[in-house]
Amino acid sequence: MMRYSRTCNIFRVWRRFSSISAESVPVTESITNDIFRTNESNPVNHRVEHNSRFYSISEPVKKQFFAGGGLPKEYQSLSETLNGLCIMVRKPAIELIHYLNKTNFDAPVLRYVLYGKTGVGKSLSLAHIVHYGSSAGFVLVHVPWVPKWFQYVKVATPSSVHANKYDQPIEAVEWLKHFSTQNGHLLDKLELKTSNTYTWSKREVTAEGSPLSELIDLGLNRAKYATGCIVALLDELKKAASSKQCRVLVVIDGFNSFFSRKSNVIREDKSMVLPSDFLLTDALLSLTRNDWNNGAVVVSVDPSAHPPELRESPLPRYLLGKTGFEHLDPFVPIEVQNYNDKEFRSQIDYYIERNWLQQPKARTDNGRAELSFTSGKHPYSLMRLVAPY
Amino acid sequence: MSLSGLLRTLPTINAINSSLGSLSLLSRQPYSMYKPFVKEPVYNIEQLDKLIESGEAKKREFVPVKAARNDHNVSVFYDDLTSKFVNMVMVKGQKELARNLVEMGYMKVKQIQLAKYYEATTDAERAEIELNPITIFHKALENCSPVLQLTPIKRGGSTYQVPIPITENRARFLAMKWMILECREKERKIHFPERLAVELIDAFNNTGKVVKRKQDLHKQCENNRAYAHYRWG
Repeated sequence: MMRYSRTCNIFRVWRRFSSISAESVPVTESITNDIFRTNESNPVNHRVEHNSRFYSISEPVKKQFFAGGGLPKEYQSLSETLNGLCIMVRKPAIELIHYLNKTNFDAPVLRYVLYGKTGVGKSLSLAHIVHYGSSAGFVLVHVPWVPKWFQYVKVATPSSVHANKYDQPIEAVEWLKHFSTQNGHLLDKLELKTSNTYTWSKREVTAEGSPLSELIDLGLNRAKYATGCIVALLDELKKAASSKQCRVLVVIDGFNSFFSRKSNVIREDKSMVLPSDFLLTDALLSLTRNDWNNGAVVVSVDPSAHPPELRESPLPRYLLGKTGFEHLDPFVPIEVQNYNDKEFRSQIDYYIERNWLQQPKARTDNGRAELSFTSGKHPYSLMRLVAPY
Repeated sequence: MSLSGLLRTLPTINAINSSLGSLSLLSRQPYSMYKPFVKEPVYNIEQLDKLIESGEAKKREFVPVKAARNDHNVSVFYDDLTSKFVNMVMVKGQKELARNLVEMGYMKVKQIQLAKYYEATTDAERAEIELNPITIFHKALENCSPVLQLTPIKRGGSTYQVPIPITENRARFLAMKWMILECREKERKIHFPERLAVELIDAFNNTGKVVKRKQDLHKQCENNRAYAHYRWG
């Protein structure tokens, strides 16, 4: 195709047509000779050989696991534009999958902490692990983004279950919906039962031995007791895991927000309600303690999960603070870094193949070198640089 | 030594001004601080190499050159027209905001076109869809540029709108100005980048409000062709 530009220089626009059909069918099936893709769509099988390759996640899987959150917003809208969600298999995720495959589930629960600068790929690695967890038969306890529970609380009410603590009814109902979508089939199969009686009010009682789904349904229908239901649910899961009835994978993004000094809830006397004053914090901190077994805890700490004054360093000790560090210690730290050369090349290839990086000059070696320099191989910066062109 | 190497070793404009004061006095162009013989700088590395190959560089070796501008660069993404457009979008000196708005607009153009691309079923259909936002922008500006303009000329007590030829710069200016004004209109519920994207794609397809404005101007010129001779009194 020949075009004349305004400066009367002739330039030819090269077009790469993908060989796939344009339906919204996951793309991997037909492309096998692109070196930046892999056909292996089951994360349980991802190994070092799959490093820096994209694997695709089908629409139903995406709806099941990420409808309640878990994918960064910009990445999600980009994946919709590019006609299919593909996640790059990278070293942190491969490392975690290797460890989780080899865990000794009789030993107390191991905590893994993903850390790194903002925009480097922690949330996507966690999304990869969420997908892995369900493929490997774990019951998923997935909190997509903790600061949403403290920075943008819609309503906070004094707790019905515990004095001096606060409930978040709307967020709790949302999370219960997310939990039941992610784990629906598995819970039906496992048939877990409650081990205690929970009295919500004079007329609402969840008896001992009733299925967990009843507990979840109660929380979904009665926002007043939703937070209490979550506390009970997580308690039951812990006990069930320890008694070998199920295997639980806890995945939390933005864990350092639990130890933050700010929330947007202010009492009548103008004092701020700290994250530690919420009931949900207690529930999740109890779940991330290593006093149970037959499970794993994967957590990420991010500077952007803290208010702007507390974003000086991306390292876990600084972000978690003394209480947080002592809570999680000992943990396995896993650093998520900028792209290396292979991953960078793979990412640009993907953008070119999906017709996202359009400028012909940018597709040359010179263009790639410029992008590598200006983005510093930082994943988020690269995404923003490539977006307009 | 290559011309590009030589150019990079030249002193800054302040040094030039102080030592070669003869450059910056009154010139033929009343608002320009440069004399007529001072050349525009060439930023594009490919163009520089072409100058060296063709021998032009030898003639330019001792000709002084204007100061480098902040927004000019040798990036593979640099586009002259986009840079001009961003300057026109800019208000109160907020260049970064203007640039972000235009870049968001380009991204939205790509999103809209890619949606069409991935919905198309045949290769022929896909070949028709233009995906490059810069190409769409250039073609849209071409389609919006008028060929004549009207100027008020007083004859015998009345002012007539007389059609006269238009320079390339003026045509380009009008196209960009109309595009920006169109994107800023109405209740502002839809933000500038989204409106820009939709207007650019419409103009690329020779439809939309900006192209209509150009066509209205052409119609007016056609209607007033009887007064064309007023241009010369």
